[in-house]
Amino acid sequence: VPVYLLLVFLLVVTCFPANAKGAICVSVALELSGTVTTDDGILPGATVHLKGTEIATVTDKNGEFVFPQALEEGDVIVFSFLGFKTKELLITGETPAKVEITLVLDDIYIADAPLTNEKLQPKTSVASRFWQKVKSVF
Amino acid sequence: MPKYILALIALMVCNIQVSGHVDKCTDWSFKEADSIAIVYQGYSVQNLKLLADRLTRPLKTEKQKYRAIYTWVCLNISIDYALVRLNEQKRKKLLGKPQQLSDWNRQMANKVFSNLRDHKKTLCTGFAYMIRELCLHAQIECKIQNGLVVNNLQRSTPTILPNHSWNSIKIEGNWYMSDPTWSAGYYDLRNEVYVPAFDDTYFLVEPQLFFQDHFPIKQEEIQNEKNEKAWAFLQRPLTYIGLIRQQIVLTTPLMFENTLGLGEKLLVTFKTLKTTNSEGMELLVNQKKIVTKPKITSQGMIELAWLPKRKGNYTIDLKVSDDYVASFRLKVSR
Repeated sequence: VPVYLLLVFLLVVTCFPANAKGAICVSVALELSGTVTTDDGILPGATVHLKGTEIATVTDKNGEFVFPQALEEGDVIVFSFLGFKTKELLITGETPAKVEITLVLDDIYIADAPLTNEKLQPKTSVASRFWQKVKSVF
Repeated sequence: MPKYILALIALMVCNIQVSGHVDKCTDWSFKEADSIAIVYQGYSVQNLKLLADRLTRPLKTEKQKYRAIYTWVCLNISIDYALVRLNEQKRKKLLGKPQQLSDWNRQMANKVFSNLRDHKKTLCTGFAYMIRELCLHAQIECKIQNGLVVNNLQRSTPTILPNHSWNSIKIEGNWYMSDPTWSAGYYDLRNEVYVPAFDDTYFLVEPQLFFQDHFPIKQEEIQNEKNEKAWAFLQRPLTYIGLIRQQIVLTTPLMFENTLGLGEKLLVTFKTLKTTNSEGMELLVNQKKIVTKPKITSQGMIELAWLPKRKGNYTIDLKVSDDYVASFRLKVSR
């Protein structure tokens, strides 16, 4: 097959449909970076990962990140941190290269019941309990 | 040497011994997952995505992946009992004050998660969140449930404010319940100390079994003091880890406090999902073995019966294969 035909074929396959202005767009890899914050300020240690893959990074001490891989339209970036609601960012042609993401605390109810090693004890009479108290004194 | 190779070496060890605890590994099919969890003992929780990947990458099925996560959490995260007491006291103080309770929850949340990240110590909410976060990164569907559990400590000051958190996990299309807090250890009431002791009884439990001793309460129902089902749950018999371990579904009695007239028989009926063998099933009355011969009813239930000869107050314990399963009180009157 002539090489030029192969090149034309590749060009057609990688072309996206025309946008509203009539121009034909070619998908560009996005180098994403940004900051993750909460109501209380910057959030170091937040995980930023590409959904469905193991490709991820964490925000630094300034809450900032640089994603380690170029992203394409349709990729979903997930922002998460222990105790916070997860946020997803769908990469489109309009996604800016630098983003600021705010995570919101989950509706947390703090509960605490540990397992215990108690067993139910038989009820004792008042007289028996009094006698036990007397015995413990002596 | 790659860590997964170390995991395979660890597989050769029969009993899992970690930090002086002898742990019950009840299922040989989880040896690989448990071994991987041990290899990453002490791993940092600052990057949970990385931790989840390390724990689950070598494993093939969702069940195995969840096992690695669950075992890691149980072996590495411990109960912060000071935080438990603080939260317990505050919750009792703020009973009937929903806005203040909500403010307290928010304030405590920061402390709970920072203690968890910095010291790997937390209470049950923290355990449940840690499991959920690791499952998120391992692409295992996982939710947190809040609700009620009953022990004698709770019975003394009845309230239907949720007092526990656990997880529901979707494995191969089916939902199971998991309680990592209760799997990581227990509180020794006599010596007033927390004892780390890994027990996988609450790893993945069928809902039918689990909801006998865990009552879920939805977020929107938390402040509803008229939740009748929740109040009814508090009246149930006291149950123990043996209920789940022996896979017992208790049918009668379903109340903690019971009354009988003299001449009436006490019937304790249940079924076990584990085995049809009715060996080792007994009733204790005031801690003395009284009934040891179960019978199978026409409905296929196991029945232990006792005819009290005198009126009085009795404590009844149901034991199966040396495990305490449930206890309740019985008052016999004329």
